[in-house]
Amino acid sequence: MNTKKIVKTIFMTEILQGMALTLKSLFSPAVTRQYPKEKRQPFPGFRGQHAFVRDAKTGKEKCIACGLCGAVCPSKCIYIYTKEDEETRKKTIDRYEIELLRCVYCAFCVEACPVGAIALTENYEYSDYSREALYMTKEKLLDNWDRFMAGPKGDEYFEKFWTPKQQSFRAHDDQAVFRPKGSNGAARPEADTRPEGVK
Amino acid sequence: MIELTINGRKVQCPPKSTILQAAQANGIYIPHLCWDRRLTPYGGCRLCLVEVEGQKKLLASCSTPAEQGMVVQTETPKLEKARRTVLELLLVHHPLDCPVCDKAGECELQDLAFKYGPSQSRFSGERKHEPEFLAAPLIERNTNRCILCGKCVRVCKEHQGVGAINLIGRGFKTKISPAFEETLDCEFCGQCVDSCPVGALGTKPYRFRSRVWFMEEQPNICPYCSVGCTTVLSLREGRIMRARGKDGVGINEGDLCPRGRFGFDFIESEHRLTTPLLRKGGKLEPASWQEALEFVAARLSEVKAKHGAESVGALGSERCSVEDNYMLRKFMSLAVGSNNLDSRARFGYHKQTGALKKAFGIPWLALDFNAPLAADVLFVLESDLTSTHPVYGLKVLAARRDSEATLIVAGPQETKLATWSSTWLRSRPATGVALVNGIMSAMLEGGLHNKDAEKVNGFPQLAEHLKKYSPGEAARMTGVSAEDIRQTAAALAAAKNPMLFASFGSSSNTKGEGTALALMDLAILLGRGPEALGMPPEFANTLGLQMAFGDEGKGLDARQMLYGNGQKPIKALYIMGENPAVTFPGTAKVMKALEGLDLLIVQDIMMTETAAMAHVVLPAASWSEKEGTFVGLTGKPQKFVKCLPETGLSMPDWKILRNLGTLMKAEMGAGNFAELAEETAENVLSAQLPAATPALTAVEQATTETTEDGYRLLLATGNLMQHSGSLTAISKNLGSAVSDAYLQINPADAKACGVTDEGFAKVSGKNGAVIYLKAKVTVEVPEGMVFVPTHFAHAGVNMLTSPPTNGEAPAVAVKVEAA
Amino acid sequence: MIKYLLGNIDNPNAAEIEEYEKAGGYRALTKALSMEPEDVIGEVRKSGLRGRGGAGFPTGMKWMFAANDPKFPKYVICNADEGEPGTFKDRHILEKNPHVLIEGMAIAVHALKAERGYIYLRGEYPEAEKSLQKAINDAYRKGYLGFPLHIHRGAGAYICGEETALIESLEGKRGQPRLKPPFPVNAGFFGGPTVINNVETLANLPFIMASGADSYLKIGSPECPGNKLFPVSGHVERPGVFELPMGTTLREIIYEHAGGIKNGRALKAVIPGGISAPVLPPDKIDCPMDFVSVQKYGSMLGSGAVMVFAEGTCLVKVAWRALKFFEHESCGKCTPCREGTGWLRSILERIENGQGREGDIELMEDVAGNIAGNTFCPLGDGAASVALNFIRHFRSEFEDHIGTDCRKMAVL
Repeated sequence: MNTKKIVKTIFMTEILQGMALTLKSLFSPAVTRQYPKEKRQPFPGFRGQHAFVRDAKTGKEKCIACGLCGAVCPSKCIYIYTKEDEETRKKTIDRYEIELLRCVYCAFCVEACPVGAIALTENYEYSDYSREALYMTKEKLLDNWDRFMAGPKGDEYFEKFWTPKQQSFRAHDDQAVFRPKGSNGAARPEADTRPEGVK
Repeated sequence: MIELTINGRKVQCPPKSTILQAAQANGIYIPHLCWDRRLTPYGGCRLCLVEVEGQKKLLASCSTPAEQGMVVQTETPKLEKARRTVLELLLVHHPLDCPVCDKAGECELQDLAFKYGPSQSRFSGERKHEPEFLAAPLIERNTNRCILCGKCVRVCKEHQGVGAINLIGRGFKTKISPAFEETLDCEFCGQCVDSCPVGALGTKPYRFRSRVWFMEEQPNICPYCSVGCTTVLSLREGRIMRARGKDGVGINEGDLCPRGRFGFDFIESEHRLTTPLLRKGGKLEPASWQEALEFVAARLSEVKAKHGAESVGALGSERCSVEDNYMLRKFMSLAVGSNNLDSRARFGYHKQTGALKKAFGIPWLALDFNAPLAADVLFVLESDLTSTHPVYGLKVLAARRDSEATLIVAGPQETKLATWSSTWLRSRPATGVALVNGIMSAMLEGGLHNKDAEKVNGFPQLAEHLKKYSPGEAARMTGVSAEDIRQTAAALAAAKNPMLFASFGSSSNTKGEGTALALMDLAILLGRGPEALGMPPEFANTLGLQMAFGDEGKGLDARQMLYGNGQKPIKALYIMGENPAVTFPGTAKVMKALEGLDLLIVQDIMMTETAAMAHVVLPAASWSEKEGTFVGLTGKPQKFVKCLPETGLSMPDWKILRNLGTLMKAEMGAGNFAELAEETAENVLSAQLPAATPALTAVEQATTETTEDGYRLLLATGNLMQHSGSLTAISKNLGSAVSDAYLQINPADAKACGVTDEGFAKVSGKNGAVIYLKAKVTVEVPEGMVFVPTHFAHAGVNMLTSPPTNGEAPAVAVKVEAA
Repeated sequence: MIKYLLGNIDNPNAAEIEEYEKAGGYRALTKALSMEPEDVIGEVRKSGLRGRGGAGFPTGMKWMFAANDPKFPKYVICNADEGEPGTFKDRHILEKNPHVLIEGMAIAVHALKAERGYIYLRGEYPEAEKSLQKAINDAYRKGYLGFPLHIHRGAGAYICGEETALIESLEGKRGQPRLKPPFPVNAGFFGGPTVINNVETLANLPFIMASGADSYLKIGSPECPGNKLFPVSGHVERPGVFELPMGTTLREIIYEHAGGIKNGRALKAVIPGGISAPVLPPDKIDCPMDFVSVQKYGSMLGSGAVMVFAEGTCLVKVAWRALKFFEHESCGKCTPCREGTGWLRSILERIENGQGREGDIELMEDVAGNIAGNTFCPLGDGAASVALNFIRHFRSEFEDHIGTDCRKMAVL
């Protein structure tokens, strides 16, 4: 036992150090958030409850009923039933259901969607007492968009997080595929200059 | 065997194979889009290119014959580049609308582009912007997606023998279209849809209903005709989304007819029964199973006590499984104690079995499905095989096409086989016996018959009898020239492997037992046995029902039960899966008999016209909602599976009968389906066909009804390719192709009767029945004959027909006037 | 020099049967009919006559294949569907000297023991149909024809000049080439052995039969005996059809017979055998015009249609126009031709319009290189080789053209 240790033991310096920290914390502001009184703003791009993008032009969902979201979903919680629209004779969704209790919030559905029709909102407050409430339907999903993503927020969401990073991802004007924002079908570089790897 | 080297591997293939076939037979994959096993090579897609040592050019493997010692490479950098270019070229104009294309996920172009090529072309050119063609029933066309492989065109023309579509235009503007770009109007077999490698052709009932990766596939045996095709069902959420043929699957190896491909939706019809119904105060009211079964048990015992067990009869069903019919027999013998058991087969299949017993001493025929392909002369008598048994009919067509066999078609109607025949003997309706007698007479006259036949029992009598039917006399009776009759006799006699075809359906009223017997006589004269006969049973389980019901002659048959001529031996009738009020000939009599019953129990899947008259209606589970066994034309049992939940409270037929029997204190057994299946297999399906012992019987041509007093047209009834019995009338899919009965009438007769095409005609019979039908003026029927399909209840065609007597089913004479 | 194809072309009544007889016509047929069919075939084989339609296949050999096939009936079809751009040689025979063809057909029908003959006539030759029909009627009247000879007018598809597509068209089907084998000589028209010969080939027969194979062999070059019709078009002083012995050099045809380049300009390029034949630069015009030699010079004799382009012609435009033709005439059966011709055309179109891009030429080479050899019939090959050969010989012009509109200098 050396002198340093003897001094430490006799004067209980470690306890005093601890007490000092306690004293300091006593006068600094508290870190605990008083949820639900006090709510935390999620970071942009947060993967919360789903929403169906409402097309500003038509006021309807953007979904073309391709079913790729359901195909890619790792927990198989997306159920999509399709039909032919009697008026336009185009493909349209009959029922679109997401079982939130099984969802793992991986956002693969958003990534897979060729038209940017589904989004994960910043809403994380949707606990409920019944299972039915956690069974999302098309109407509920569209409602979510209006509630959480309407306006510039929705645009920003896709612009910032879901724009394809590869510029070689291109398609033709009349083709239903996901297109970078702002392209609006304007002339794109011709195919012959396509970067290597996509020969 | 040819030996060649593919990718360094020594492989063998039969002579006359192409490189592609040699590779496929040895499990080597060569990509291809325009090649199809069933069709002649086309060589258009240029994807199946291979390198052959010593050849500068790349060769299309689908059309290059394999040669001894050939050294072939199927995957080299050069080939990969060529394939990538071809795919890129295909994608130049392909719309790439995979997200909304129903084919995505099972699209051959998609798969190949994924495997070899670019996801899109380096070139973005003008695409096609044709509208989708949705006007035709059942089949939709999207020419924008078409890659012009021409498979649909060839499968329609070469394989199906129709030729409803072709390539129109030149170069890139080429498109697949019916003639003059009219709306598609064909058989709607849908073979083109299954052959399409991309999404250019689709079935409308499936349009946009589901993505392929969400569905489960379940092969099942088709419930319609006796061919017993395997139709591959795609299921989702307990519903059938679509049915298709899959290459190599089942006896049909992927071929299907409209019924098998589109007819599955009867299961979802709103006419399906969901609960037992009891007649209370003159109206059928829903009841519980308990209530209904107790009622049936009590009333049956009552009738039995009052009139004896012999006053109870039952009708089985050719559409129910062997197990169901076996259970009905068991129920009748154990719970009721009656042998009065019969079915609609009395008016159809029994014509043939009756003849078989006389001619060969066997109770039924087990056909070899591929036998027509080996035949060199095929004789089809007054039958539209491609309508009654479409996929079996394809074999006859294939024999004509591939092995260039001689196809002789005799009959008044211009059927598909008649148009493809080498010789078409356009005989007068219902003169089959005279024609066959004439042929036999010509054969004996020229000494062309097999000399062994002379030793067969009954030969002298037959030879004597045939003197009445000299070719000249037969020509007078049938309208076929004596020369043609002699030539047919010579062709048949010269054949190494002749086959005789006819179908005996309950709906066709121009052939009787005599016709079948005459054909069998002909087979014996040719020195052939039952193997030369191509006579398929009518429905999916006609043969199974025959086996399940076993020996006849113990009780009353359907004729005695329902056409009693004033006597009413039957007081209670148990009908399982049958609709005698529509499908039996001479329905007026049948209705009267049914109305006079003390107790009518109908057990069916849907609300039929017969069920509407019943005292109790019991809901049965349909095909695909229960499991069971069908015995089709090959005589081999095929299991069909349960893949859907039962509709409402319905139950499998065997279960209803077991429960009822148990309630009536009978020892029914069959605790579950497996037990029943085992019992059935042991008691019914183990039956062996005895060896044939030929005997010749002289058959007289029945005199057809006189055609005087304005009743000068002979009415022939029959089957359509798109429908089957009265069941398919509730299928919306098939209804969109053909939804109503019509009257086919020759232009000359139409003019004489004042009937116009598409106009309504009043058809009246000598029995006083009058029906109204839309007329179709066509040369498909000859002068003096009209044809009406029997599938549609409201048309009431069977009011005009009469039940066969002595196994004969003469065509009836009718009067046709403009309505 | 003997002119036996169009020797009497200056006679305005040459198409009349009397005039033709006066000039010695139908004597060859009489002679042939006195011979055994096998001997006629032997004579034709000995003559070394090669098909004048483009491929240069020995006619006697073709006949022998058909004659050796045991199937009957056999057919003789004359391919008069002269659709190749720049080619107008058969037209002169058909309109001005139809009897030489009819006599040739009669010899062929006799040699092959054929049942009947067909003349598949280009739809755009109504005049030829008139004169041909009259000639056939006259020949029947005079008793020269002992078999049915029909004229079938095509509906204007270039592909129907391909023999199997021609058969399909004649059978009433869609004009698309068939798979070979089986070749038409074994399974052609309605499955019967069928010989299909070009108009000019058949027109050579009367001379061979009348004068004998030996005197025929003295004309032209050793591998390719006989006379050949050379239709010359483009920038020459005297365009027209010239009947010259095989092996005449291209230089002689252009500068002597056709009168040299128009307005004394320099020669820029020449296509020696119709638009499908690869283009040749001016330094190769010493090429003797027969099937073997032209191939050595990197082109093909084809129909022998010489197309001359003088200095100042925009060859990009020529190539573009050629591809436009091929795109329009592609039948649509096989992928590379159907889609590839259109693609090549559109690249050339944008180069021609001054909107060409860096790498366009390489792209074109890549695409054309992958079409060549991989198509179902030679039409696609022809299209690809047009693109490839124009680039090969005149690459700098294509490079210069990228980004510039040359319409100011176009003279064509």
